[in-house]
Amino acid sequence: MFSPPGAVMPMPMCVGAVTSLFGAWSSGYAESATAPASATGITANQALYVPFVVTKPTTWTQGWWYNGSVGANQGNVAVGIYDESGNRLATTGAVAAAGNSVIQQATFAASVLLNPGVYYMAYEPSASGVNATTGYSASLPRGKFAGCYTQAVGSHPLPATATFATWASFVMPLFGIARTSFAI
Amino acid sequence: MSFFPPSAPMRSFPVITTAHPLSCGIAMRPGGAAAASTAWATANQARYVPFLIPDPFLVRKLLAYNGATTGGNTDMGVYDENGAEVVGIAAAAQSGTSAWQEFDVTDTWLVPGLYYVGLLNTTTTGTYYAYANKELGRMAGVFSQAVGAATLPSPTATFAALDAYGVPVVGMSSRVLI
Repeated sequence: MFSPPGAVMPMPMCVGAVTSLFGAWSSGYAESATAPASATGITANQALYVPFVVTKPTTWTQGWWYNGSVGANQGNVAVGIYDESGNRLATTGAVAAAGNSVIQQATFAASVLLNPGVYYMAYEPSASGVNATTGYSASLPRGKFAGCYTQAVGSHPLPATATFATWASFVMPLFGIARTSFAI
Repeated sequence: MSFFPPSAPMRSFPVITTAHPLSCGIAMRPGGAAAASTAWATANQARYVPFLIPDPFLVRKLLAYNGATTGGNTDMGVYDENGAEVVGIAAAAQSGTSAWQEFDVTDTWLVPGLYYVGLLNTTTTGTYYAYANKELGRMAGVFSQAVGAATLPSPTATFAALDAYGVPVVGMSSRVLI
């Protein structure tokens, strides 16, 4: 039987939890009728885990997030990557949030080569002030139907091993990862 | 025996534009504002919009969605993810308002990968339809470059963080009739 080789979907430079074809919450985003805005309601020391898909081997070098109108109200931010078993593969470590209503980037302590598969990108703030992040104030089902998890870490930054728990955030920040060596 | 392909790959569409999921569509809409006619803002500035090409794609035309006012010359080209030029148009006067302007290129096959369609205008008065939210554009991996010349760089683009203009609406076509 003839079997043509399957085409491999190429990977973009940036994958966002919300804003990319490869990020799981894009379904919730597409469902949303409103623009992302500065949001109140993130929880200090709560990690958010959003599935994303890697279709070909790619090396990831940076994490990014979209500060709200008072970005510093997040305190420190960490962005990382986990495998499906909850093992941390990359992390920015704790980075002081700086700048309002702009994207902030931070390099991973070590870049990571990901083979095709499902992974989780993670975001954790150390504080929970007003308008700390830009994203969506969303009902719980949106995070659940996208396959997202949360974890009440209770400390900062992201844990070496995640303990995935049912989604429990009313805010989905705009954050993600990049494979560029330069600023996005 | 019935035929089952080993996997169902995502296929390229005959016309792909900025608004498509294989480009910036998911990032720019519906959460952000709709595209609107926007002055180019910086003469001889390039903006590079990403396109994911999942299977071989024959580029026959490049497209720019002109805004309400035309001005200067338009240059367009396709670059690979490392900034290497793949194919380009012959720069030409911007022509036609609130309409797609089509540019022929040498028919060129793109192998699957990440590419960028570059757009440059020589003035600050020419307008194109664009998504204004710069930060959403950055999330989508859109870049810009202060070229400082009337044509796009050849053979290599130098990608830099997106400037304040936003994300122009451009496209590529594998068809001649659009």
